[in-house]
Amino acid sequence: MQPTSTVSLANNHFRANHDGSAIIMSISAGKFFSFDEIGFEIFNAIEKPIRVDELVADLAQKHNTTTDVVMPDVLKFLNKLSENELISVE
Amino acid sequence: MSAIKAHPDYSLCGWRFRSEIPIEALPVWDGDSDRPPDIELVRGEVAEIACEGPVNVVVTGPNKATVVSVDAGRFSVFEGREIIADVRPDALPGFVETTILGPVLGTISYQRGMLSLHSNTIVIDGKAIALSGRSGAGKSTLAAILMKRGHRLISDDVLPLYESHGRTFALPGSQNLRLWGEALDLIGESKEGLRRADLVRDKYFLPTIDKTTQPWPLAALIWLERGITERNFLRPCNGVFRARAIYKAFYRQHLAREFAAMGSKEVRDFSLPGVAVFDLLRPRGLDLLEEQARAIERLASTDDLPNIDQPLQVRAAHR
Repeated sequence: MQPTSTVSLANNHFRANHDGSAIIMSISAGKFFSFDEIGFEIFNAIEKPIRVDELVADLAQKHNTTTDVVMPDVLKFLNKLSENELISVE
Repeated sequence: MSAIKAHPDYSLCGWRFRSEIPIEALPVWDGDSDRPPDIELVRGEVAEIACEGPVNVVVTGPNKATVVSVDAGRFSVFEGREIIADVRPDALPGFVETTILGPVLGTISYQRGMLSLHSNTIVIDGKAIALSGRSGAGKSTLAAILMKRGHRLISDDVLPLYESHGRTFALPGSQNLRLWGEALDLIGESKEGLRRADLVRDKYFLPTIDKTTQPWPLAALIWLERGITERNFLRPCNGVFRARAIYKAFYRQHLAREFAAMGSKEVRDFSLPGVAVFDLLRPRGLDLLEEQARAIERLASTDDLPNIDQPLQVRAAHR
């Protein structure tokens, strides 16, 4: 996955929101994932297709930090979602 | 030629249900007499579909599915509102009814974007408590003992849910509990006068005390597992364990998965706000039946039920 890739959420999941965090179940992987607030924020932000660098810029601005700090973690997180078929990447 | 309506419309999950097949487990429609039917069942021909297993639901799109029951017949379900029933001539009426209020209703719910649980659901102190678990886990027997203790059954099989103002509500479905003859014996209930639910198996319909048409707030889901245990308490499930228990309780998981994958946002959301989730081990037979029923009653009477984080002991009865 590259910063110029476009990611979007697949329909392939169930989700439960609880106290600001979330449990996501990947239907195809049959696995449950517990997301903290930031993870859930990203999950919601990719409901519609978005470029990774735009997503990172939004997050950096919102959390008052730089894209250099945010990018590695976001890529790692998105790759994990992709491995479990929770997102599509173009 | 005019059609002769032999029986009144019914209330199914609060919907006006017009059916050419009589359904004993449902209350008669008592809502607005001018409201057109929300769901209509007519008899007709449904093409054969090759299936394995006694009951299958074949989904062919977001708005069309066919329920195939070896013993009851074929039922095409369209857009959550139209049913064509091709009933086997030799089908037991009780079995046809069970199919309509089971897989057909489950299909309707998913087509309408409503997540459904597979549970026996009892109302205690105005709160719905869903008892779920795999076949043989003891949910019907526990539901029967709670009915015997004066509580109302609102669903025997499919429990459609909806969310409103941060709460989860349960819609009443089949209000006859299907029970094995052995379980009736265990709870001291006579089979005499009870309708047969199955021609081959020794199963009967135990009717609820008073049929209901209204939605009830779902306060708890209790996942039952069969087992002899020293862990004799209702254990709260949180986080992933809560989600896993809810997922296990989905009505026909494959249907939920198919509708979720087809894009139903509502079906994808299994948050169930306001619902506390517990698990409970249920021994075979009568062991701890009364005690567990009392523990569930105590649970239902708890004011802050969704926030219970400590196990609730099932106290041994004083003998």
